[in-house]
Amino acid sequence: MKGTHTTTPKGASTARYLPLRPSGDDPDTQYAVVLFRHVVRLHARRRPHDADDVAATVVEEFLNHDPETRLSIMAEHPDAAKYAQLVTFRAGIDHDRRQRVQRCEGVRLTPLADGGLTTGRTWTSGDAAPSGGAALFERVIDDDIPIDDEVTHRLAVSRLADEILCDLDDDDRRLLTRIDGLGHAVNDVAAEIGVRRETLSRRVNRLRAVVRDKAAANAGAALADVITRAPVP
Amino acid sequence: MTAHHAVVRLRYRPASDVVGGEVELGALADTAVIVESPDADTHLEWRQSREGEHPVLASFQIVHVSSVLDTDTLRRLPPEVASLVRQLVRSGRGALRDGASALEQVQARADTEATLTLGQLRRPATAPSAVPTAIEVDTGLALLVTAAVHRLATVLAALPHLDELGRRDQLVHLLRELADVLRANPGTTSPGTSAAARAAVRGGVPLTDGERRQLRAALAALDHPNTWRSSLDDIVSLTDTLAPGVDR
Repeated sequence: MKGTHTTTPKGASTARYLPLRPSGDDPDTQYAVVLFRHVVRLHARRRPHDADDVAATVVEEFLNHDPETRLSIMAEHPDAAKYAQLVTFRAGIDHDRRQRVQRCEGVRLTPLADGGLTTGRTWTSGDAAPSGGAALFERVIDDDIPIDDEVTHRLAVSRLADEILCDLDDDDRRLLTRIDGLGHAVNDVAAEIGVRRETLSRRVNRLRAVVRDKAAANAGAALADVITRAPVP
Repeated sequence: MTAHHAVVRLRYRPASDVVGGEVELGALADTAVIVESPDADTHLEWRQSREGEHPVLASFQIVHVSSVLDTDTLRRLPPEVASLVRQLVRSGRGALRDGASALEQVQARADTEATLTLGQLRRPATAPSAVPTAIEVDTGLALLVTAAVHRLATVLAALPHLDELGRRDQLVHLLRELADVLRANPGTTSPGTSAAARAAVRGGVPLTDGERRQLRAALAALDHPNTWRSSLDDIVSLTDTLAPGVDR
């Protein structure tokens, strides 16, 4: 067995087998720690490999609220398990969207056991090496291996998306990039710019329709159908 | 990852005492998955290429891991992985710095990785149970246990006591968490949380030696639903003894 520690935390345990108590007795920290564990328990049943990433996202969101909001959450949900049930599902979707955008889903291919390829990875992890990346690069470097039609198609979609986005005004481009490109939640963006979620959703849908129409005019309906799912720079 | 080796990545979050691991299995990642959730604190996934072959570890999550390092929970893992978990937990506790903000504490983590052979990742033949244990529990009894543990936590929190070291608070938080987990996961036990609560029953909590023994025994009995009835009686009796207005 060969093993390497990627971090070298200092210090030995001071209380054997006793859970560490986070320093600071403030109820927010205690609540956050328990919330973390409840989210892990819930999310592990769906996708165990990123359960602690999702838990970290939920807890960071909780701790980033202002103190009054945190107090009201704790007053409304004294049982952190119930609050975890409320927020975990959405947090899982948001986390997955961010992961897919970060790894440019649609371009990277992952080899399957039967020799076929699929887009994206078969499973995700915050720090895992992309298992499909090497295969794709081999195909690009070696002229004898034909590049999959889907790869060519997706690259063309990506270029077209660039051109169409450049035609939008700055605000619209920024909005579409944040929501469809960077995976920000509509709720969060709406709160930030001070409009209702429904209003923002309608605006985003209008922008998506504009993009689809332009794509159809430039490259046909088939391409238009996938254009809004293309990676946005 | 080679045909016979796989990279195992482990991550430990000391503030919440959660360890997770994943194995880069390559082609094996597309084989049949076996999910094992023996209790609310433990989740394991195995991959099996053909029926009859030994399942190979794919991922796992264990909550309150530092309290179950020498229990059945870790015996569910392949021994080499369990050994890595023990090393990581013992060294990773130092990742929690004094004076760090709440956010920094929650984000603190320690990672390790190792390359193991597929043989070292096989499910141990002596694992406590290969099948998820769906325990048939009387729902009414489960609710009574939940309420009793919550009441005990409330009574403990209200006792006049100088809690300079915060030990009483820690026990109260763990008892509340235990009650919430049992309520949120009907029919399952939470041996990690109960072990953490038992470890928190020590000097500095406002209980006599006898009461500590009684509480530890009652919490241990919660790991087996067939002893929940006696555990409930013990917890209710202890709470009544501690409740304000009762002559101690």
